[in-house]
Amino acid sequence: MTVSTAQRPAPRSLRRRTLSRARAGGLPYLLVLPVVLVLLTVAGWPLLKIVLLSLQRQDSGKYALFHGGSSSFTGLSNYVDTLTDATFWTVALRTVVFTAVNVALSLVIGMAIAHLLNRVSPWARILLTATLLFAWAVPSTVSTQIYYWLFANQYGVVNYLLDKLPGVHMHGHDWFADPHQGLAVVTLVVVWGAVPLLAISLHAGLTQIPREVIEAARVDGASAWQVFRNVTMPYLRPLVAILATLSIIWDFGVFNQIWFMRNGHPEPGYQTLGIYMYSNGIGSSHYNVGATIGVLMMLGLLAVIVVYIRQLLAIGDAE
Amino acid sequence: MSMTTLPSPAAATETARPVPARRSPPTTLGGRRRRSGTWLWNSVAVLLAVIFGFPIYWMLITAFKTSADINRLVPQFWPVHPTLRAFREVLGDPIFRDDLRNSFVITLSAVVVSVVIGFFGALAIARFRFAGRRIFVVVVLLVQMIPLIALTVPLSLLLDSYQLKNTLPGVALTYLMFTIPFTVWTLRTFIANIPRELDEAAMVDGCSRWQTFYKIILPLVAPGLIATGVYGWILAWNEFVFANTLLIDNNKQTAMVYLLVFQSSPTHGADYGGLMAAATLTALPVVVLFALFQSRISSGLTAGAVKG
Amino acid sequence: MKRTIAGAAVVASTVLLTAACSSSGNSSSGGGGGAVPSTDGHGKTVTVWLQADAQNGWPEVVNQANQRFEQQTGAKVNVQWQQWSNYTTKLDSTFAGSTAIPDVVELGNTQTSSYIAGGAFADLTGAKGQFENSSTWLQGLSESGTSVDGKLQAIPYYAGSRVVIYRKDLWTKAGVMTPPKTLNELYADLDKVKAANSGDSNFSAFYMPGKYWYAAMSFVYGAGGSIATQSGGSWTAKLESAQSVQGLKNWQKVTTYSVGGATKDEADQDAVMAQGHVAAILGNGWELGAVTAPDTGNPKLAKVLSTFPMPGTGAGNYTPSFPGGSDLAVPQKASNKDLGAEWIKVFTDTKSQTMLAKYAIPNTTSLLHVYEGQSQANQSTGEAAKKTWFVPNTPNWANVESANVLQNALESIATGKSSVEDAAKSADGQIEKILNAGS
Repeated sequence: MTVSTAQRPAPRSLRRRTLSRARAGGLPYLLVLPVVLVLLTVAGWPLLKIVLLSLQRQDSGKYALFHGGSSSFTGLSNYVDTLTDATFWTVALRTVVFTAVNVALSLVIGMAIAHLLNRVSPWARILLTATLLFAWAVPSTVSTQIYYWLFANQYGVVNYLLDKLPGVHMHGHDWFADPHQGLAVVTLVVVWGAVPLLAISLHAGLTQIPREVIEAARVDGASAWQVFRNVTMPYLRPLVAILATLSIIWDFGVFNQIWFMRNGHPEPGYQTLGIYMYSNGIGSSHYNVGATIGVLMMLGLLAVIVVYIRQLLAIGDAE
Repeated sequence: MSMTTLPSPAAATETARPVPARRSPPTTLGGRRRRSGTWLWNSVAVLLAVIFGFPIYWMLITAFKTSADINRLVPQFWPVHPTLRAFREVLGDPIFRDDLRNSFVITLSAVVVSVVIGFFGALAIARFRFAGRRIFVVVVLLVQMIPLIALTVPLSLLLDSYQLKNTLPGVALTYLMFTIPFTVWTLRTFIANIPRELDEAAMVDGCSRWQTFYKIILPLVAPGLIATGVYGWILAWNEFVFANTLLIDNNKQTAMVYLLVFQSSPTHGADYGGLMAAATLTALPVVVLFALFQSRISSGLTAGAVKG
Repeated sequence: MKRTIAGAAVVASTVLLTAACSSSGNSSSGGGGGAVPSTDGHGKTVTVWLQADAQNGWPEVVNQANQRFEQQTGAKVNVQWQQWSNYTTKLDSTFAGSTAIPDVVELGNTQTSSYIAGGAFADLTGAKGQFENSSTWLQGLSESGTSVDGKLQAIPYYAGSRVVIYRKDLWTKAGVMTPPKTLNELYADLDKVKAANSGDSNFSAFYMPGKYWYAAMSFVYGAGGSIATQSGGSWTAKLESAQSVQGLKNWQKVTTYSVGGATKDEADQDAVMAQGHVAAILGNGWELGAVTAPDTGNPKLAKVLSTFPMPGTGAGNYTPSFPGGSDLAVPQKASNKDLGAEWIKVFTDTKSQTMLAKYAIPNTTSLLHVYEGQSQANQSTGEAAKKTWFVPNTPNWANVESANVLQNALESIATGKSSVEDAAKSADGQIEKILNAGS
């Protein structure tokens, strides 16, 4: 997406004449062919299989799996069972809230740091950016383990430091006894891993906004917030749209951080849809149920981001 | 992850803060405020760097601590009895070395393939209008929506039927599922930012379409290729779910799986020093990659990539 | 015992044929074809999946078995060390395909049931006589390796039982000279140990993690309760019964002496004990070694650790111990089934088991004396192994375990989130649903 208005291409008529559709011919199709082939194989077929699985009921959990036994088609009964299960809705709601909190925090903090990067001296910028990049390079399984260790109830650093504050008694506090607190720690890990990319991307976007426009607004007496709202945001909107979409997709499907924070056995209060799907599906050999939940997850996600996709398509078409 | 331009501090250094050499319209109050304000913001930046970097710091020093020092009620903020035991143990394990090598092979092949065919796909949607373009774009976006975990069983069955299960190429193939969409989308932006007049001028000079691709567009988009390559590397290197399910033999697994196995084993389970050592070694290649390509990315920018 | 090559070939080809023709028609657990130990292995490699317990605990037993096997058959052995975490998922995924299927696989004795019912293993009934000591196998292990209709599908490997591992020095300092003989004595002793260390806010007189279901269920069965009983083909969960609740309360009382473990399980309790602020844990015999390990434990504690079986309600009446253990099986789809069976035969014969008896409870009662003669700890664990309980013997039990029903219920008790009765009721509801799920 183009944020910069630095270069505007030659008059449209000239462009159209030289790059006629007829001359392009089959070339674009040839170019997209490899991608289409790969995605069809690696994503398309498994997706189809999942949908099929969700419409079937297996005779005997493990037996059919080992001997390729046939499963019977039961139509939408898996979906009915799942959608009438109260636990499913609790988990779904928890996932929505968790996603919203994570995405909001990541974007807000990312935007704030992007502005900060814009504001500081070069040495500070390099220091902060380098730190962010290092944080981004750490795999989620590793960062989860580190945070688990930092928040450990007996030997964790966080409890030790917090306990030093006057009037605060955090000695031996178990952060994971209450799922809300535990999920807060998980949120910390997720946001810690997500902010670097957001901050750096948004910062790059900020640097492309023409200085003069911002200066002009400031001269006109606009406050910092007004500058942000009326000048900066319009430029950044496409970028923010893409980042928000991807953040929603990723945070909705968060698995590693919760799974490893609870050492592979997340309590019911920690279960989001991804975890629920794994525990109830693959983890207990109920592949059909797992497939059903997977399909429902995708449908839910689709409903949410269809708005963003429209926006992105509009941007893409405008070019 | 799609960006308008590259993630680089150099970009910011490029368009550096215009320290007002011109002391005009912004009031001197504003000018002075900016200077002293900068001191404050610098401190904030340093504080943030400390907060963000603390977990990494903790990982590093834990890798060098003895077990007794790790499990102390009063945490040590610096290893008092530094030891290389953890590193020696991890590096001495032939399985870890094998797994690390496997990670390299899988990640490198996945990245190279996705950058190449992603480039082609991005060319198509950035430079041409064709029937089905919209659908292609939407599909590329939607593929990213599929939760990986849901696909493990079908993918396992698929690879198995083609004798690709428990093989490195098989896993690399599955990684293409999430590296390609991102690559296509990002490179599309880079290519779209390159003015079409360049293509036209070249073709007027006698180049074929293909030649414009690799003579004109490719060099200009090189920083973008590197950026998507690096990010694809991170995605593939840190991937764990597929590697865990699709690789069976111990010496075929990846470094991520090794970490998982390490932290769940009966004896190593409480060996935080060893775990952090293995984790450090696993995160190291990505960090080195960053350090290496940082300069490439910024030099690509200074070469005037975005300008015509 | 040697079989003629021709004989082995006939059996092998029969197996291959039946495997190729097997379909979902036969729903009994026999599946298609069995395996018979064979010594014809030139040029072949047998892949064995063993848990890392052997790698750390008794590697020489594995080595000598491999050597003898290679000598006898000419085949090579490729041991792939495994981890318990997510093991069943790995097994499911591997057995469902046709790639890299091992020839021998180790399974926990609570996991075998569902795989046997699923027809994952080769039938070894015909060859039972060839496995040494098969007539004196430990009951807990051999039952777990037998299908519902009496077919032998997995061979007993080893067993373990849990005892109280305690710091003799701390207990003596608190005035407790002899191990308790009843639960009430235990509580009294723990009170004394706790009082003697009241200055240390991190001190646990007894470290009992909140998710330690093996321990909690031991108390349940010790009080006369049970997890679930079967009548007429359907299961009724029994954790709400008066006796079970009493057992859970006995367990809960132990958790009150524990600091910091309410949301954890027993996986790292040895490391916690090694830190020095724990006076007792409930653990397997080999955990003594883990607590005093040179790198990750505290070797200084080696002199002061001792053991005794968890006391029960009356003198001499111990709280039953869970006979944790493993079996070995040959997957139905393995490429070297007969060689796999032969390897198991070598690994579980008297010679191997005698070596194993130094570290773990062997698979036969005839070698128990070897085990107990090794150390005081082995005596305790050997004693404890005489009184045991077991999980409901049904394929669906594996799903109860993977759903963490017991762990979650116990954690809510240990953290104080719910009362014993409420947690038991909720757990019962889930257990019944899972155990009675139609297959």
